Amino acid sequence: MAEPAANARPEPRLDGLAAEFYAYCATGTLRFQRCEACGAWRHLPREMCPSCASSKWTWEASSGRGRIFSWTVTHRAPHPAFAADVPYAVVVVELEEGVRMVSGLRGLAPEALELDLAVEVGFESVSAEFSLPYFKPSVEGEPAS
Amino acid sequence: MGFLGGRYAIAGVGETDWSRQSGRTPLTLGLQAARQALTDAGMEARELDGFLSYSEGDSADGLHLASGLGAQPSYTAEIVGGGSSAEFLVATAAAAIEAGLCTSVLCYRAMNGRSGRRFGTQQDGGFSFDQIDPFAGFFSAQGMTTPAQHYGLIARRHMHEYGTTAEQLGAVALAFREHACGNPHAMMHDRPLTMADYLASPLIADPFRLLDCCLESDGAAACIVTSLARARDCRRRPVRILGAVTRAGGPHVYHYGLPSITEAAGQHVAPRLFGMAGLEPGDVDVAALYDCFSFVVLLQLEDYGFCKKGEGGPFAAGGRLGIGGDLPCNTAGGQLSEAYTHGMNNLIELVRQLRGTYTGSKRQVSEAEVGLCTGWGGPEVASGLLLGAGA
Ligand SMILES: [Zn+2]
Repeated sequence: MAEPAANARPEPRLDGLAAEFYAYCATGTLRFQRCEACGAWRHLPREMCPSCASSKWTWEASSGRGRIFSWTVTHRAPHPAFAADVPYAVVVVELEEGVRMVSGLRGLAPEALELDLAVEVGFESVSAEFSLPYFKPSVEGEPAS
Repeated sequence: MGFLGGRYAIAGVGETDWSRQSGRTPLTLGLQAARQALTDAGMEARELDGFLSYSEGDSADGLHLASGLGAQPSYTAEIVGGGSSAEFLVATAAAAIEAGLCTSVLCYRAMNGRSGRRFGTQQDGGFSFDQIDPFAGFFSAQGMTTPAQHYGLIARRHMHEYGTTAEQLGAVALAFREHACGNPHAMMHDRPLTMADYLASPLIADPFRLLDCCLESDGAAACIVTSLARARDCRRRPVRILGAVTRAGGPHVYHYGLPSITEAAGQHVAPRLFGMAGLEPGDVDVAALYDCFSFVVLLQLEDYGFCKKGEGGPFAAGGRLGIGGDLPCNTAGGQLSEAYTHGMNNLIELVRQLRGTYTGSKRQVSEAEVGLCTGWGGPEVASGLLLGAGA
């Protein structure tokens, strides 16, 4: 395997449950684990339900809609791959299903961010195996893409 | 009563100079700090038979350190981690002595945190969460690779829920800088700071400015843990270990999935720690609160019960963290203004305060009998020590 370039964007290790999560992202769908025993949704992917400790789950489709729960705006790039992007926001989104996901923001200047702003998921294809989920302001009345 | 019946103590402390470019290896730095701690305690190197350190692949291991001192170890370990490790080592050292594994333990952190591996950047092979966290890829792919960004998300939410302000974060930075100005050894000794300076410092990871972030330092710090009986024969007044909680957390580590992201693992440490020692927050005379970022101090003030949830900002802004305040904190300047060693330098200063090292100078906290040292290894994991002036 070739060494990635020093300034390549970091990609997640596509193994274990992360591989399953990102395989759905590569098809343009956001799915989270949902506990078969108690019905609780969860993210990040884990072997066990944090609510009831069951190890049975299914991957269920999220609506892809949620609200901004918190954010940080990076002004000094910590990694050369992001040097051209500053200032950029990383957001915590609370999805309609109740899970919270740390993600990127598109389609809105960081200074226009507000708590509880309605957002919806989108995907950027980074490589054949890897699509990066991000969030953008919701368009009222239209289904999430 | 108390941790292991109160039978253990810190008998010696030592550190190197702090710099941005030590020009020495972590092993050399560790040896210098160890020799300082031995001199401080009035102990011979051959008395040390336990060596505990922590690292993120950037330190010197105990076996080589022992060898460099001519000591013969019977118990060595190096744990992976940064914040929350110093307290873990001190507690584990006492437990190992109690178990008969060794008799006197050197706990240390040696690092070239500025000229070697850096923690605030991935440039030049710096620290990456990928090295310790299997979830890291979920964040790094989004351009989120540093602690500042993670804790920035928590700080922004805290500001939203409780009205915490930039000036309140700045109050922490100013308090610790004032302490550094009274400590000739501190990296920021000759750099007084005003609120205007703080507010003018550049944003790094909003809401954090440069001056909300700890320093990057080369250096080493060490302390010697031994029995109270042995410590009583050492050069300095012993500092007793009254309570210890090591790397405690909640049941699940994905912080952003918790009902509240503005609560941190210190809330799990505090009741056990104070309960073990039979003490309350109001009994603490001097504190060493982990300060990788100013905001982390505010959160711990809440977690450890010095104020109500959400009131860390007003507490800090009320001048309470200064020497002479209600809770003198990080009196050598902390990691924000003295040096960054993942907490060991803060612990050493706490020991010196409890010994009355600075008696007769403005730096001494008056009637310092009980000290709290906290470690923050992220919002998910925390450690704590309660120390007492010995007799
Ligand atoms: Zn469940």
